[in-house]
Formats: sequence, C-alpha cells, structure tokens
Amino acid sequence: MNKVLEINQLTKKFGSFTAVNNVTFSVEKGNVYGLLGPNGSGKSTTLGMILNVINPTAGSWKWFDQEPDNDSLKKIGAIIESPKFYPYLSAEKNLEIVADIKEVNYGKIDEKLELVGLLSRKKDKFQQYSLGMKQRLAIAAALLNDPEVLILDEPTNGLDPQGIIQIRELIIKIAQQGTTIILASHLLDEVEKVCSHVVVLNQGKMLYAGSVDQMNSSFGSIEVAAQNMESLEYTLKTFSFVSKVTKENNKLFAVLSEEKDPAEINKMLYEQGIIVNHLVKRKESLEQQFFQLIQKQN
Amino acid sequence: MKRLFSIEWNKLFYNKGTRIFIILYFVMILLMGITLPNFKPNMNEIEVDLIKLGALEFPIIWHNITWLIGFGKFFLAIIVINNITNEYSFGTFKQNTIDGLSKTEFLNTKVLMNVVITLISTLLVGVLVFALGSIFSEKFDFVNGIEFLGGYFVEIFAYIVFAMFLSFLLKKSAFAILSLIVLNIIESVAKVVEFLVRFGKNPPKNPNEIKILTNYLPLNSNGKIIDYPSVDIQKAIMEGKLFVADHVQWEYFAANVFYIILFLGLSLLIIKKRDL
Repeated sequence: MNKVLEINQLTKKFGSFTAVNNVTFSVEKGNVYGLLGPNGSGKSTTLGMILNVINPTAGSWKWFDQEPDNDSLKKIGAIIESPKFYPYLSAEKNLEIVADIKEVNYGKIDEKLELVGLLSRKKDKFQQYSLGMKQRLAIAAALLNDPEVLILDEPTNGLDPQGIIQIRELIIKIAQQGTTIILASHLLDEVEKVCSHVVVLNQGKMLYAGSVDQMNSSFGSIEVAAQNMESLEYTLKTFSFVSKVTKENNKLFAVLSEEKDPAEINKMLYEQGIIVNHLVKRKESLEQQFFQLIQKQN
Repeated sequence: MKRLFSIEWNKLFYNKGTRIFIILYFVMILLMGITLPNFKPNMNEIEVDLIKLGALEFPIIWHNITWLIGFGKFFLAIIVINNITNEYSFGTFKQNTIDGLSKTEFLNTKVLMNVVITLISTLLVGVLVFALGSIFSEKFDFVNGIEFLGGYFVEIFAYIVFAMFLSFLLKKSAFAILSLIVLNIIESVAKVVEFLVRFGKNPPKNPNEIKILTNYLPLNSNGKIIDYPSVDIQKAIMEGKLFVADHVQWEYFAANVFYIILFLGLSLLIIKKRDL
C-alpha cells in the first residue's frame, strides 16, 4: 500500500508547554482519516507542522514516501481553520493567486468553482461572501491542483446546518473520487459519518491510530423493553453473554460480552416467556469510544 | 520569476489602499513639477526666483529634483507596509505557505515588488528631470549628474526594504508606520546628542570636515546619500547662481547597500524562524 503521509515522532514545544508529544502515524492512499481530539489537543499544531507553517521541535515526516521539499505541498490541498483569502479580490482573482502558487492552469478555476457551486458568483469580492460560501471557496482552492491528499481542519466550524450538510456532501463526493482525506475535527458525529480511519489525540499525545471498526474490541450493547420489566431484567442477567444490565428511561441496557445476533436474543427471551416490545442492538458510538480512550489516559 | 511577479501583481494592483497611495504619489510629483517653476518665495521683499538662481540647470537639477522627490519615499513605504502587514492580518501568508509557496519564495515576491516600485519611482524622477530640464535649463546635458538617479534608486530601495523588515518584524501596520517615524526622530536626536557630547565645549570651526558616526545609522544614512542641495552665497552674489554642482555621497551609498543586504537577511531569518 502506498503511504501518502508518514509522521515520525513529531514533537512541538511552546516554551515549557508540549503541544504535540512524539506523535507517530501514517496515512494510506484512498482512505478518509479523522484526526480527533478535544480543543487544544494538538490537532492543528500537528497539521501546521506537516504543512510548513510551524517549525517542529523534533521529529520528521514524509510526503509520498519522500522527504518534504518545495514541491510536495503543491500536490496537497489544505485548509487550516477559517478560509483565508484577500477580501478585496474577487473569488476568481483569489483563485488565480492560488493557481500561480500551485503552478496549475487558470482553466481549472471555473471547473472547481462549478464543483462547489460558486461559478455564478466568481466576480464578486471575497468580503461579500457568506461564511458558507467562503468555506466552499476554500475547498475549491484546495482542490485546484486535483490534490492526492486533502487536509481539512474543522471545515464545518461556525456553519449553519445547511452549510454543514453541503460541506459534508462535498467531502463524501471528493472521497468517492479516490482522494485521500485527512479531517481534523472535534465533532465526533461528523467524523463518524465520513471517516474510515481515526487518529485520536489528547493533550498532545496520540492515543489511537487505526480503523474506526477496530478502535474498540467490545461487542456492543442491546436496548430492550417489555411489559414485565422485572422478569426481563432477571432473565437477561441469567444469560452468559450479558455482562452488565442497567435501567434507564423505562428501558434496559445490556452490555454484551460476545457476538450475538439480536434475532437470537429475541428468540431466547421468547423461549423464556418474555415478549419484547423494543429491541435494538447498538455498536458503541465513536463518541463513547472516544471518551473511554480519554478516560483511560487520565 | 514570472510566476512570483504574477502572484504579487494580483495582490498589489487590485488593493484599494495601494491605489490611493499610488495616485497620491503621482499627484504629489505632478504638483511639484507644476509648482516648482512658479514657486517664488519672498525674502526681505526680494523675490527669490529659484530658476534664475540655477535650480533647474543641468547638472544641478539632478541633485535638486532627486533630493526633493526623495521625501515621497514615505508614501512608498506605506504601500509596502500595508501590503505586507495585510498578509498577516488576512492570514494569507499562512495560506500561501500551505498552498506551496515557500517562505523564501514569499520574501522574493515582496523583494520583487520593492524593486518594481523603486524602478517606477526612479523612472518618474528621470521623466520629471527630462521635462523640467528641457524647458528651463540653458544647455541640455542629460548625462552629466545622472549618478544622482543611481543614488536615488538605492535611497528608495533601502528605505522600503527597511519598511518591509519592520512589517515582518511587527506584523501590524500601525506599529510599523509608527516605528518608522519614531526611529527617524530617535536617529535625528542621536545625531544632535553625538555632536554635543563630542564638541559641546569647543565646536569645530568647519562643521563640514568632521565625521558624525550616527550619520551611518539606517535612516540617517539613507537621507544622506543625496544631501541638501549645495549652495554658495558668494557665487549667488557674484554670478547670480546660487547652486553648486555636487556629487552623490558614496560612503553613505555604500552604507545603504550594506543595510539592504542586512535587512533582507534579517527579514528572511525572521520569517523562517517564526511560526505562522
């Protein structure tokens, strides 16, 4: 598998404060990576270092299996924090500057503006754009060179629900074209919706790097309810594959200790004379897994 | 080169602030060209006609015009400061770097801009001297004294390179402009202090013979490349010509070339070392 990015023991200290501590992970081609962590966990600093805007204290990284040089960033599209453009220039002029920097043809400008739905507004000045439009223009700029990797740092920050959906759909559309995406966010449901792999950071330390599925070895849990809750609770506790039962909002939550099909559970309960009126099997959400990881560290 | 120029051109040319200052600068030079020949101050009820006194004679015209237009360098410095501090406040320096413009290339675009601004300003001065000289000079001799144009180029370039350095250092336009003004005052005061400390009790008989060391500070030496136009009262009484032909002060010229290299180097050091 080709590695798009390989980070090796990257460290950044601001005075005595260590913002990023020995972070090592790699990004493989074609996947969508989520870079997760609470505010101040070192996500933006890590991205800043591999994008040449922050000088690392120690460590190294490789783009496309090569030492980074002047041209490596021209193969990448990245947006850090809020969209940064010249407010007095039109969208078109702003993209001309980006095209000159990345050494791509001006012909790409209309194509990318079309993709993000801003073609009809290309002559308007950047300062007249709404936040959602600015964010879409930033994505157009990042895509201008048809990059092999797209790096997005909090792309939906401050957007309204409609804007969030537009950006999310755009990300999925780009991912389907085979572009590798690294998405830094503290919004877990956002990452869960689009990412196949995650890297979890907290307080500058890396807690996990790998696929979303393997992040937690648990077998999920079930949510059940029946007419007779007491006998339901009693019966559940007798099952060998149930490790813990808790009661909440007139429903019972049972944590599973081995893989079980919900149909089979239903059948077993029925055999015990219990008819359920509610049965849902849940994998642990990314949010729960994330908090477990962070709690483990603390 | 063409790529860097194209990047900078879009940033610079379409900026409203830059346009206003360029227009002001043009108007200032144009006004000088118009008012100068008609400027006849009254001194003790005697009308002083600078043209009759030889202000616009070749080669003296080179000295006088480059010295006078040299004051306009402050406008050019503001254009440069505005342009560079904007890159910080818009966050576009950061985004340019992320897009793949290395920090050295970024500095090169700015140096290129400085060269272009200085060239345009120098060209304007050349045109102005050509126009005024061909109208008012008794004999037309464009080449004699053209060294002042070279001196002017280095003066302007060194000045705006210094302004660029202050912009990179301070990141905020208000700070950069203020420090340019304050440094100017400090250097002038330093000159007076040095003079008083060294010669306080027994002033030298011929002030032109002594070397003031603080004259070699960046802004002082910048204004010294082309010094005040030399005048000779005796000559004015005898021949009716006030001005004397003089030369570019090459020791200050050399000092400024040194400062250009120094401040370009320091600018590069600052932007390389600092996190964006």
